[in-house]
Amino acid sequence: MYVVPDDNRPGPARPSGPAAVPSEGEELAALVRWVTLGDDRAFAELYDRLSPLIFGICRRVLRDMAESEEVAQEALLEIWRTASRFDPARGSVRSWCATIAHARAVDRVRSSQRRRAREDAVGKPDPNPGDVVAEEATARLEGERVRRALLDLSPRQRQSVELAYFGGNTHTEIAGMLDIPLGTVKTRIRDGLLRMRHLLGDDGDPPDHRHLLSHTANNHPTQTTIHRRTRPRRGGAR
Amino acid sequence: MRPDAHTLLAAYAADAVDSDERRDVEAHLASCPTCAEDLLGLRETLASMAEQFAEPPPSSMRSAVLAAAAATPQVRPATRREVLVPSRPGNRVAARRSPLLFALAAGFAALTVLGTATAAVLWQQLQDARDERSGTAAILAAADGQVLRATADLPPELAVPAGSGDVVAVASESSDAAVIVTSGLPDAPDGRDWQVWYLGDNEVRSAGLVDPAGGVVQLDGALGDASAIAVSLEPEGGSQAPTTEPVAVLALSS
Repeated sequence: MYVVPDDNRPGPARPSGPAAVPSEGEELAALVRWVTLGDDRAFAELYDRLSPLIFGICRRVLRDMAESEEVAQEALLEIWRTASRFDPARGSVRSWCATIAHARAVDRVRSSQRRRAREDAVGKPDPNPGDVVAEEATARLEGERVRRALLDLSPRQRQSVELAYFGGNTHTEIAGMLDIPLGTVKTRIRDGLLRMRHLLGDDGDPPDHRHLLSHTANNHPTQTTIHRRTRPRRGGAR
Repeated sequence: MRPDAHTLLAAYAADAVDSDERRDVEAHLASCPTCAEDLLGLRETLASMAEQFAEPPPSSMRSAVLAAAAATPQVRPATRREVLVPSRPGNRVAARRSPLLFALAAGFAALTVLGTATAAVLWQQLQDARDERSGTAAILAAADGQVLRATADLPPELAVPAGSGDVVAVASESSDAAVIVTSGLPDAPDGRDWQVWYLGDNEVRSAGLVDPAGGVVQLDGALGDASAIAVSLEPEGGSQAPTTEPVAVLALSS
């Protein structure tokens, strides 16, 4: 394995047990560190591990194969170029890369939408991409845990989260498409994501969302119960 | 800031805001560490969701991306000269203008050309050191290590060929230590040494003398709460505090 190059070497026994094996997240963070030094082998391994995530996001948001490929390439090059800005204290490599890819895909969708709107002066976005995504998700999901979490959202939460994340729509556009108040859309996206977070709660160290809830609960009943957890002490912050 | 900037946090995490809203949320995030922390959690959740839709790209994309990367310059870690730069204007002028250094320059020119390493060589040295079983290898392999790189801003008499002049350090908070490789620098002129410093908020600590021919070396002392690592040219044997402006400042991310 690339990140642990001395696995097969003779020499003193390596400490065994789970603590001695770097987690996938630690391995990815180490790869990004080598990428900052211009290590093309590390970048190739990062590509092999993360290009399906990046390309998958582009495909969901953009649909078009050629356009997805183009935007995924841009995202991967941005990851290469800006690897030195990755800070392991501020989240995982996966989420850093997903954020970059998603932002680029959404930029592309919006600029295409603007172009189309200029061309035919019909500004109404397709109201159904979220439904399509939901169906495909249920049809082809592999990760049982996240699949269950998605299905556990209320249909309205799921629709809003998907229209927002995979549809590339702003919450204002979603409110128009679904003909519901803006505040309701914001609440559905937020509650949907917080519920997902809660359902995936054993996955790493979820931040404490009490602050977010207390800020935003307003008059909308919150459908989630966030377990109180001690805020993880994040290393590396200085 | 509009009062509802934080209510937009989830929509912002999903890129479901317009550009005005984005600005509002980012302004809020800059002043609200709790929301900034919440944002990280929301992004992790979205990445987990996106993971379910992972799809291998066409195989032709791999070589295209790797080739494009090889031809694309990378953003260097930000350097923060201002965190350091002890204000010793007299010394700085002396270092830059010293007739002695100018006189030495010609003699060192050839050595300089032979003695400096390109970034690729530095990387290879780090790579090799990482594969060894030593203290430096442990620091290089630490999961929280930060790779810091800066191109030295050398006085004209010590100028190095294009492509060399890089200083690379790896600092690990969990190991409370750092390593440095300075083989991109020219040898220090006679009567002078390269000295490394840990820069804290209000203190500058020596991290020892380094020799460009010395390969990858662990710095003296603990990383502590240093916010940057700097290299300066000092009188032979080193100084208590920097007497010249550092040629390289490598800022740790905060």
